[in-house]
Amino acid sequence: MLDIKSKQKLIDLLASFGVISFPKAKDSNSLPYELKLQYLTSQPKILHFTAKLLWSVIKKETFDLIAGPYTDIPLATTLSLEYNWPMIFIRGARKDHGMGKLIEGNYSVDQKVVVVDEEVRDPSDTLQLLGRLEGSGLTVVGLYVLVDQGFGMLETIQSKGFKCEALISLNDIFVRLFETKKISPDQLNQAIKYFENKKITAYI
Amino acid sequence: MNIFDSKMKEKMILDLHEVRIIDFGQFKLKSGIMSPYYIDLRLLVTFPHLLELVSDVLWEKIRLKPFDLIAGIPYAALPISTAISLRYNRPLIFMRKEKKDYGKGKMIEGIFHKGQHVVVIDDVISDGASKFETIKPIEEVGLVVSQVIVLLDRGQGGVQTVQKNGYHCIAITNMEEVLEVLYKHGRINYEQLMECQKFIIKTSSRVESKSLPKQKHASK
Repeated sequence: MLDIKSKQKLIDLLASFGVISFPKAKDSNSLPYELKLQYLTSQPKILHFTAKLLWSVIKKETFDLIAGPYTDIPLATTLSLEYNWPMIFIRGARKDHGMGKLIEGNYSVDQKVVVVDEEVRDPSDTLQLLGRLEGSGLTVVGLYVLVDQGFGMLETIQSKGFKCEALISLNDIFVRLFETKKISPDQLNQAIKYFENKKITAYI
Repeated sequence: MNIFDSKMKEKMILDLHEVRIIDFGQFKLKSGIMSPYYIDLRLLVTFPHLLELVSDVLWEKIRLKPFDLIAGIPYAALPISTAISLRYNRPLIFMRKEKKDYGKGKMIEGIFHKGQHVVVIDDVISDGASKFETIKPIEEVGLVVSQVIVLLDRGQGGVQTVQKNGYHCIAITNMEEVLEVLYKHGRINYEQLMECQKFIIKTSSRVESKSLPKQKHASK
């Protein structure tokens, strides 16, 4: 896990570049915050910093390859370039020409893989990705994501026997933003209220 | 092109062959025909040092014209444009291949403003049709495509087609040059060279006869 100083620095950076924003809520059912992680794509500097933090967590593992899905944020590519570590890509669908592979890149059976992604949006999608790796004969050492938005997403992955960790959680973000007076007590309360309702539906 | 550039390019071609990104054998293409060579730049991600080399070679061309953003096209060119963005600290925008059904459903992700100039980067160009599919959504959101830079020209007239439509388009290298370099350094033998060249002539003439049927008739 990350130490509190790095977490705070990351959250400050994200907030200063507008990755986390608080639009005026229309009703009590709409999200009280907006997380635009895809903004990272256009910010090479934060991307560098994020990769540095991710690496500090990942390097404790023993692994041969970094794996990343084709998503908005080139986190895995950044890690691979920065630390000169071989990487593979997980495709969405199999193509019927060329080599017809689900996983792009050079790998051999029984290699150990660390999967890097921005967040777990849909556990079934993520499990599918992990399944693709295991189906190709690779061993998934763990899944590391940038943000845990709650709703029990990480726990679902963990319950299937995968190691799954997030750099920061939504709780970390709100605490830090409140501490640095980026959000008002009202906004905090609104978010807490929203999540109280959400938790009930998530557990049903 | 100066000597340093061409040396770097030659090294790149040899290195790509070394790790079998440029591979020789029998491969089925998208169109169904068999090809004596296959270039799979998606493998680049497993070789970070090569990814850096490729992005350096591309950068030598990109930097010659002013621009604001780099556009990454899925799939093979994405890691390449990411590498350029990180190495030279330029913002990147990301093209989606499929529209997602949640969120805002945007086709282009990242931070951009109307009127900014974009460099489109891709790995290969064949007949150029797919480049227009990429350019269209970029222009639809109010961005200006200042140039299109691709690593490899497959020799099917794609670069010319894009240029004809008013875009500045450059290919770093083409298949003839790749074969020439590999043959010069003894990586492929004479038979392989001939087989590949025959294939290139065959496929490029096929495209020509398709696009210019009337002229062919007249010459007869």
